[in-house]
Parts: sequence; C-alpha cells; structure tokens
Amino acid sequence: MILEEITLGNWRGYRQPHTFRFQEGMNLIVGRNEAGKSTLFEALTRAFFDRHGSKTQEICDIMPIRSSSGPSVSVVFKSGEMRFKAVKRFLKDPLSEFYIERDGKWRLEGNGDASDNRLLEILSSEGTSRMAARSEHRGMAQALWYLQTDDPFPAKEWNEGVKNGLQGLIEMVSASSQERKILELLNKVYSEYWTPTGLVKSNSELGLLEVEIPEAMDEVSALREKAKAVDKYRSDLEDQQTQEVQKRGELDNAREYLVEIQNRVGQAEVIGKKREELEQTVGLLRSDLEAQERDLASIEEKQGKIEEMASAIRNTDGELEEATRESKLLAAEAEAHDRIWKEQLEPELKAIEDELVVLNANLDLRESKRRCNRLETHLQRLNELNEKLVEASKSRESLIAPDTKERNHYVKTAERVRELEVKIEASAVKVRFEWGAKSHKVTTKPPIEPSTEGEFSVAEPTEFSISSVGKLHVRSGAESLTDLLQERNQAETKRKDILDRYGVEDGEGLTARHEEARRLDQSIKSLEEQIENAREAEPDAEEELAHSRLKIAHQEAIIKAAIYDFSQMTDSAIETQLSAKGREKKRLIGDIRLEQMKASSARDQHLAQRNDHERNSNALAGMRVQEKGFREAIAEILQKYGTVEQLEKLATNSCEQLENAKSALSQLMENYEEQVETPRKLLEQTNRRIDELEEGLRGINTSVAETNARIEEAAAHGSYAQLADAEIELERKQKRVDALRVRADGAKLLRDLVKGHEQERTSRLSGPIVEQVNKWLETLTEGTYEELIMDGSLKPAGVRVSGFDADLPMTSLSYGAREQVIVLLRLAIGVLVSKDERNLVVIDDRLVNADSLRMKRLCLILQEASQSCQLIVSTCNDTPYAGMGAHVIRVPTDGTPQTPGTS
Amino acid sequence: MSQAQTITRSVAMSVKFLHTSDWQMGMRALGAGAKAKEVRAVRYETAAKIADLAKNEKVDFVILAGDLFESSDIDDLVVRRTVQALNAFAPTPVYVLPGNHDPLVAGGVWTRQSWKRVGDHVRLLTSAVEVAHSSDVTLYPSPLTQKQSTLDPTGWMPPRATEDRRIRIGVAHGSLDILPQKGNFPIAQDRVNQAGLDYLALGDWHGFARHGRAAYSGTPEQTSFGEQSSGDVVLVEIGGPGQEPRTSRRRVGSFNWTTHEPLVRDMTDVESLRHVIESTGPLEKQLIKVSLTLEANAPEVLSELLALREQLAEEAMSLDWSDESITRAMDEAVSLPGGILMNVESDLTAILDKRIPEGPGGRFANEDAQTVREATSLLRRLASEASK
Repeated sequence: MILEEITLGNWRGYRQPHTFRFQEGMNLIVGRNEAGKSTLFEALTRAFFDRHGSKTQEICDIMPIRSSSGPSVSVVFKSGEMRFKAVKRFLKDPLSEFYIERDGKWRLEGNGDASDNRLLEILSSEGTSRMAARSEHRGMAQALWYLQTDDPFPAKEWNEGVKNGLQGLIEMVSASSQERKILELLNKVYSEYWTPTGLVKSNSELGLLEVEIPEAMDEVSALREKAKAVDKYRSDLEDQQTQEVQKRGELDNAREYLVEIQNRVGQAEVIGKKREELEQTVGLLRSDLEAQERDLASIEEKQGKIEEMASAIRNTDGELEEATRESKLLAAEAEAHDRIWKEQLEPELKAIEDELVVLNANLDLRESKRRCNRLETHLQRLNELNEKLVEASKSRESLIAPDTKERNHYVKTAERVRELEVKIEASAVKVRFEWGAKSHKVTTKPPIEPSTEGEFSVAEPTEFSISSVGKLHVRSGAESLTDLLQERNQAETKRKDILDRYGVEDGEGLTARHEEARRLDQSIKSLEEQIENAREAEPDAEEELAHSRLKIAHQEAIIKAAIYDFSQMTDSAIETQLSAKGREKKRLIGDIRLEQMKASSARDQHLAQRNDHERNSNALAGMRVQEKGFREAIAEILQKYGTVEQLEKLATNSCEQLENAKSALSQLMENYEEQVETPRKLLEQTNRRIDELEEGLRGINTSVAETNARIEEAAAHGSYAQLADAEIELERKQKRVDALRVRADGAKLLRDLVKGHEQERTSRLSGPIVEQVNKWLETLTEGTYEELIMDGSLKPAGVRVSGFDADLPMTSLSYGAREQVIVLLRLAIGVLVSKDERNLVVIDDRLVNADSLRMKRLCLILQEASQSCQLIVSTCNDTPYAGMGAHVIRVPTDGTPQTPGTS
Repeated sequence: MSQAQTITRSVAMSVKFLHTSDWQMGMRALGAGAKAKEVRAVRYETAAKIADLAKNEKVDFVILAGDLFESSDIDDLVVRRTVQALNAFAPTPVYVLPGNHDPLVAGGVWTRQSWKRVGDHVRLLTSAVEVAHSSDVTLYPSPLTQKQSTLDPTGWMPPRATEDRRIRIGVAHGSLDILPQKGNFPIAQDRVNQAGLDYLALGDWHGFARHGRAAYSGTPEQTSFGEQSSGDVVLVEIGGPGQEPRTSRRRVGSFNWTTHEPLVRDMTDVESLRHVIESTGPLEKQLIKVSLTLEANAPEVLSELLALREQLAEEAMSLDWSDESITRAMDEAVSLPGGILMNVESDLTAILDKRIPEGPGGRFANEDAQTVREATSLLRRLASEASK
C-alpha cells in the first residue's frame, strides 16, 4: 500500500481542511516543533484503524475547541494496482466511506462498519479492540510505521498481520484454513486444561480433582486410622485376655496354697496360746517384783529424807535463837537515835529559828521605815508639780496669741504691702514744676508730698491746684498702676485685720504675743513630762506606802513579843548575827537527818531479822510436817509386807520365780518363728496375694469390658462401609484424574510441538530481514557491528560486535544507536514486504540522535530503501537530507485547503 | 473296599442339607465402583433367597462354611442385618464356621452384642471338637482363629472308628491342597479319607468346585470380576454313612460380574460379543468389563462397536469399557493438512518409535509414551472434528 494523499480537517491544529500529497519514493515532511507533523501520522493511523463510531477520550482530544463539526480525515492510496479512497469523520455525524477508483471515478464500495472493515483488511489488522489505532492492532503497519508514540518493538511479539505479511513474502503461507481450524480446536482443548501460563486450570475438572484428591486421601487415611485403632483395641483385648488367663491360674494356685497354710496356722495357734500364757506369767512376776523393788527403794529414800530433816531442824533452831538476840539489839539502837534527834537536836533548832525571826524583823522594820519616808517625800513633790501645771495652764488659756502659721501670714502680708508700695512708687507719674520768675504753691488732691527735688509722684488721678493759676488734673493712663494700688490696699487691709484680731499695734507686738504663748506651752509640756516621769518611777507609791506601814506594825509586834532585844544593834551586827545563826540552823538540820537515818536503818535491819525469823520458823514447822509424812508413808508401805525384812525376802522369791518363767518362755521361742510366725505371715501374704489377684482380675475384666465397648462403639459408627465408600470414591477420582492428566499432557505436548514448529517457521522468516539489516548495519557503523541478533519472535535481541565474537544486548546500545538499529529493522521489513508491491514505511522524527557522519550514511540507506518502498520521513531539520532528491512537504504550509469526503 | 463303603451296607439313614459359604457380608465391593452400595445391599436379598430355599427343600440343616462376614471390623449394622437374615432360617439349624475373614479372635465379630441376638437355631462352631447334629449325623468343624496360616485346620479330625455308624461331615475353610502352589490354610486333599468323612463342606473359594467328597459351595453372590461358577448354594443329600453324597447347585445370586476380552476384526465379532453379553442375563443385573483387541478399521464396524458400547453404558448395571481404541481407529481414517501439523505427527510417531525427531520435536523425545499416544490421538481427533 502506498499513500498518495491525505486530507484532514478539524484535527487538532488543522482546523481548515489541508491536503498533503506524497510521491512513491522518498518523502520528507519538514516542520518545526508542533507544526503538525505527527498529527498527519495520527490522522493516517486513525483513518485506517479506528472505527468511525469510536468515542474514546483520545479521539475526543483531537477535536479543536469550539469546533462545530467532528474531526475528519480522507486518504487516497494505491494497493494491488488499484486506487482507493477512504473518508472518515468522528464524533459529530460520524461516517466511514470506502471508495474504489473505477474508470477514473470514485465509486462507493462500502460505508459504516463495512468501510471500516475494508480499511482494516488493507493492512491485515484484526481491528477487534477499541484502541484499534494502537501499534499492536495496526497489522503490518505495526512494523512499517514507526511513529513518535510507538515503542521500538512490541513487548511480546509482532502481531499476526506483521507475521502474515512476512510469511507471504517468503511464500510460507502454508497455514490452510484446515490447519487454522485444527489449531483453534487445539487451543480450545488446551485451554480446557491449562492456563495461558501453563498451569493446570483451577476451575477445570482436572484442577478441581487435584484439589479434591488430597482431601479424599485425608478422609481415607482418617478412616484407616480409625480402623487401625480398632486393631489396636483388639490386640489390647488379646493381651488382656492372656493376662486374665494367667491371673486366673495364679489365683487358683494361691487358693490351693491358702488351704495348706491354713492347716499350719491351726497348729501354730496352740503354740501361740502357750506362749501367751508364759508371757502373761512372766509379765505378772515382773510387775510384782518391780512393785516390791519400788517399795524397798521408796522406804530407803524416805528414811534418808527423815534423817536429813532432823539435822535441818536442829540447825534452824540454833539460827532462830541467834536471830532473836540480834533483833532486840537493833530495836534498842533505833530508839536511841530517835531520842537524840527528838529530845536534843530539835529544841536547839527551834530556839535558833525564833532568834532568826526576831533578827529579821528588826532588819525589816528598819527597811520599812526608810521606805515609808522616801514614799512620803515623793508624793509631796508630785503635788507641787501638779499645782505648777494648773497655774501655767490657766495663764496659757487667758493669752490670745497667733500661732506660727498666722504670724508667718502676717509677715508675708506686710512684706507684700511694702513690695507693692515700691512698685507703685516706681510706676507713678513724676510731676515737677519748674517756675520762671514766679513760683506758685501747688496742692494736690489727694495730697501728695513732693520729693526733695520738688517732684510729685502721682500714683492715682490727682488734682493739682496751682494757687491762682488754676488746676491740673493728672491721671495715669497705665492700667497696672491702678491694679497695684488696688492690690496694695487689699493687702494693707488684711495686714491691719490681723493686728486688730490680736489687739496689737504692729508687727513687733504680734511677735511678742507669739513668743509668750510659745514659752507657756513649753513650760506646760515640761511639767507634764516631770509628773509622768515621777509617776513612772513609783507607779504605786500610795499603795506601797500603806503596805509598808502595815509591815512596820507587824514587825514591831514581833519584836515586842520576843525575848531578845536587838534594837540597839547596828544593821551590820544584826546581819552578822543572822549569818551565824543560819549556819547553826543548817548544821542542826543535818544532824537531825543523820540521826533519823540511823534509826531507820536499825529499824529496817530489825524488820528483816524478824522476817527471817518468821520464815525459818515456818520452814521448821514444814520440815517437821514432812518428817512426819515420810514416817507415815513408810508405815503405809509396810502395812502390805509387815517389816522391811519381810519385804526384802518376798522380793528375792519373786526374782527367782521370774527367772524360771523366762527360761521356759525362751525355750518355747527357739522354734517359735518357724512354727508360728512363718505360717501366719504366709497366711497373711497369701490372703493379700489372693486379694491382689482378685483385684487384678476385676481390673482386667473392666478393661476387657471397656475395650469391647470401644470396639462395639467403633463398629457402631459404620466407618468400615464409609472407608470402603471413601476408597471407592478416591479410586474413581484417581482413575479420572489419571485419564484427565493423560489428556491434558497430550494436549500440552501437542500444543508445545505445534508451537515449536511455529517458532521454527518464524525464525526461518527472520533470515532475509537479518540479512538486509546486516548489510545496512555494516554500512552505518563501518563494520563495528556486523550482525543483528533476532529472537524467536522477530524482535532484535542484540548486535554482534565484530572482532570480539561477542553479542551486545540491545539494552547496552546507546539510545541513538538503538534507534538506528530499530529504524534499519523496520526499513528492512518494509523493503522485504515491498518486493511485489511498494509499501509505505513511516519514520516519524526518529533519527534526531544520529551524528552527521551516521546521518549521511543513513540518508544513503534511506535512499536505497526508497527504491523499493514508499518512505515518509518527518524531521524538523531537513539539512542532512539535502541532495537526496526527496519530495519535501512543509507543514502546515504545503497543505492545500480542500473539502474532504467528496466522491 | 474302603471303610466307608463297608459301613454303608449295614446302616440305613439319610441326611439333606444346604452347603453355603463366603457370604462376605459387609464386603467393600471396591470393584463395583459407584455401584458398591447396591452390591453390598443385594447380599441380604440373596441370604433371604437361601432361607426360602432351605425351607422349601426342608433341609435338615444348613452349613455356612466360613466367611459369613467380610471382616472383624464390619459395621454393626451389617451384623444386625445378617443376624436378621440368619434368624429367618429358624427353626432350621444353621451351623456357622468362623473363616479367615471372620476368625475367632478377641474383639472379633462373634463377641459383638449384636451377634448375640442370633436365634438358638444358629450354632457358632467355635471349637475343633465333634458336634453331634443328631445321633446319626456328626459334624467335624475346623473354626479359624486367625487370618492366615500355612497349617491345615482339618488336621485335628479323628479317623472314623470301626464301630462308628454315623454320617460324618467335615466343615472347614481353606484351600484344598490340589493346586500347584500352597494356599492359605491348606487342607490335605485326602482329608476325607483320613478322617472317614462322608462329606467335607468347604469355604474360601468363591466358585463352586467338587473334589471327590470335598466340595466348595462358592459364594452365593459374586463379589468381583474374574470369579467363575459363583452365585449358587449346594444342596447335599447323603443316603447314609459311606454313601456317595449327591450335590446339586441352586442359583441364588442376583448379579453377574462379567469380563469380555474379544478380538474384533469384523461385524461378526461385534455381533458375537453382543450375543454373549445379552445371553449372560438381564443387562441391569450385569457388571461388565470389556477389554477389546481391535483389528478392524471399517467405519461401520467401528460405529457398531460404539453403538454397543453406548447401549451397555446406558443399560448395564455398570460398564468398564474405554472407547479409546475405537475412536483412535476412527480418527486414523482422517488425513492431516500439509504443513506443520504433518511435521508434528511425524515427530510424535518418531518419539513412539523411540527415535529422536529432527527440528523442534527433538526436545520432546523423552516424553511418556502414553502422553505421546494421547497427543497423536488428539491430533487425529481434532483433524477429524475440523473436517466435519
């Protein structure tokens, strides 16, 4: 297929219809960025591959904003020596029309979907997807049109269109419809069992069975386990029954033995009885003997005690007498001490104390009298001060005097008056008359005294009378002088008011009054302070005076009653006397205390002696009672025996009898163990053994019953049939799964084989392409890369580096080199599929990364390729292509405006 | 002249009894697949038929020579239903011998509570001791107490005493020692003579067999494919001690398990197969297994075979017959289109011939032959389908 022209309108930047025409060989679309180069190719792909009714977002995006009609494209192309025209409009009033040129005229061959389908067939597109214009749905054009938005090569493999195109090329289209049908059926069968990735389909019968079988196996194993458990019970039961038989045998033996032992025990009973009797005799004799020996020992012990008692009683008696004597002496000593302090020392102390009272009374009386006098003097002075205060207070009350504030006020007012007068004087109009020949008398009203210079100072409106001459009226024009005069007069009035208030003539009188008042105030204050001080010095002087007078009366009474007279003695003599008597008193008190202590000590000893005596007397009485008790006890013991000697004889007899009995018993005991104990023990053991065996048998019987019950229970559940059913089901499933597995494996093998052969066929296809690419690759890289490596799906996998015998994967190539290889591959495919008929190859701005040298070589390659196929290359820079003789189309300028869609 | 013959002349007495064995109640019937439940259930019907027969024939007693039950482990329900079936024989005495499937073991089936409900007319032969059925007839039972043994269980049977005028009947379960290899519980083939028996009632073999005075009754209801002469009980009549026992087989079995392995070359062979199957009995009572050797590729023969197979699948109780060989033969008639599929087929053929195919098929050379056959068959089938 070669493209002759394309017209597009309402298509992104091409609002108006533009038509572009192409040559059969090399076409170069030139335009700057966003000029609309790629838009042309977009329109081309959508014309061929998109269904006219498609409303995908991608198509919606094509329509320019505020466009009234849908985007439209029209293509004229040649295929198989025929010319075709296709018109498509999207979105608004969508249409698709397919025309064939017959006899030089366009004839409509189909419209709508039929037209879309015809277009899809042109490039072998399956056209099944909504995204039909995408490279993978573009049929042959997937390989031949290398657009800006396309990946270098498909993610998986070239689409069927490309493959078929290539197959046709090398005459390998052997896939008959019969083969395709079989392959379709094979795929269907394969997909019944397998997923596309080669796993067993989980929802297939095989997949389900593969899940179910392990479950069924589990069920069977569980049931087999149950059956095994029953086997185990059965084996347990066998063991239990063996044990039962064994135990029963043992029991029978034990019972037989029991009878034998019971006979022996019967004989042993007799011997046992005899032994009991002997043991009883020995016991009785031993207890008699023990009693007698005990009594003898008791008597002996008591007699010893009696002797001890008698000796103790004797000692205690002596001690008692001695103690009584000592006690009496101690009592006498206590009394003697009492007498000393009571009769001698205490009267002496009394006399000294009396004397001390009188001495103190004398001293106190004198002191009291002195105090009385002092208080009386004090009270008198206080009275005098009070009288002075009353007098001063009276004088002050009668005196009218200014206080300090008022006096200062007066001084300030008087000063102000003087100040104002000076100011008035200064401000006053000075009038002086200078007379000529004759002088005249001048009087003023109010009168003004002229100064020595004959100058009148006029401070207020003044009328001058100049004798016969006449009168002169002078008044000051200045307002301030009037104010000064007024203020002076007010101040003067105030000053005089103050003087009048205190009845004085002048300031000095006022000051004298003020001073007088101050003096009086100070005097009153001083008196008050003196009175206060005096009162504070003796706050309760009157009470104290009364108290002292009472004391004096009391002391005088004491002195008067005393036998001693110290009134003639001086104070110091009395004090010396007092001191001496005090010491005497102290000594006497000490002596009395000493005597009292001695008496007390003697009395305490006496008391202790008496207590000891009493205790000893009690002990003595106790000992006597004990002694009597012992004698009575001995008498009581001997009541049974008579005398001690008789008791001793009896004990000797008992001893002999006991020895005899013991000897008889020991003779009996020599064979006793064998004759009596052993049979008895055996009897006991056998009985125990029988009990144990019976118990064991009961246990075994219980176990047997339990095990039987378990077996019965297991049988009751029907698990034997269940197991059989489960095994049958498992076998059925396994057989089925085996059969399905064979079928699935067969299908897989067949499909894998078919795939293998298909791949081989594909790889055979890649031969001519690689050959073509290699030729160009060597030209382009000057032999650096000598061979393109293709994978099984006709995609470049890498390049072979010459001289190194190594493959370089595509990912290791630079971006530019990779792009160049891809372009060469597509060109090669283009050249090869154009063997019989030219085909369109599109390279949309893909060679921008080539250096100038490579670009030159690429141009040569393009030129060569354009000999076989139609080439449309877009670029924003046409310089490298100069001289190629390409048909240059500049966009958008070269587009001839034309109405599309007409036939 | 044998000892038995001598006695016969002097005594005039007779006995008539039913000899049966190997009821295998509760059997698992694994071979019956989906029909296992029916196969198990029918055995009770068969037991009822035997009881009816015993009554109708007015037999003196019934001998059940071992393997009444399939196993010691069988479910209680089976024991209960079997006890019911045995109780239906009353008052006819039934002598039951424990066999190798239901030996006398601790916790075995005979100690079950459900077994204890069996009527007094049923006597379990638990010891190898003489059992007098009557003054004229004595049984010599050989109960088994384990599943397997190389010892002859009838070894204990005492020789006939000179003065013994009774009919002596041995009852045993084991393998009569007449085969090349020794079986389980081998029974001396001249036991009858050694013990002076008039009849030795045997169990274990599922098909009827008679060897002198010794006889196997076979199982009254077939248990699997491959059993011959089964499905009967044996009516035995003995005119007197030393007299030749008269045995007659009576059909009681319901189902037939049949195996057919025909060679089919033409239409006659197909018809012959159809005839054999149909003459065996009603199809709904047959469990059929067909293993074909096909030497025909005429489409009409193949179609007829397929039609027969379909009919049997529809009507028989169960059918085990793979159509693989037929369809393969049919598909072989179809030709493959030229191209890769022919290459594929030649690869498959090469692998089956143990050759390594050239080209992409080479890596499949070790594929399992069955898988390769299936792949070939599938290819053919698909080609056939595609050509329709």
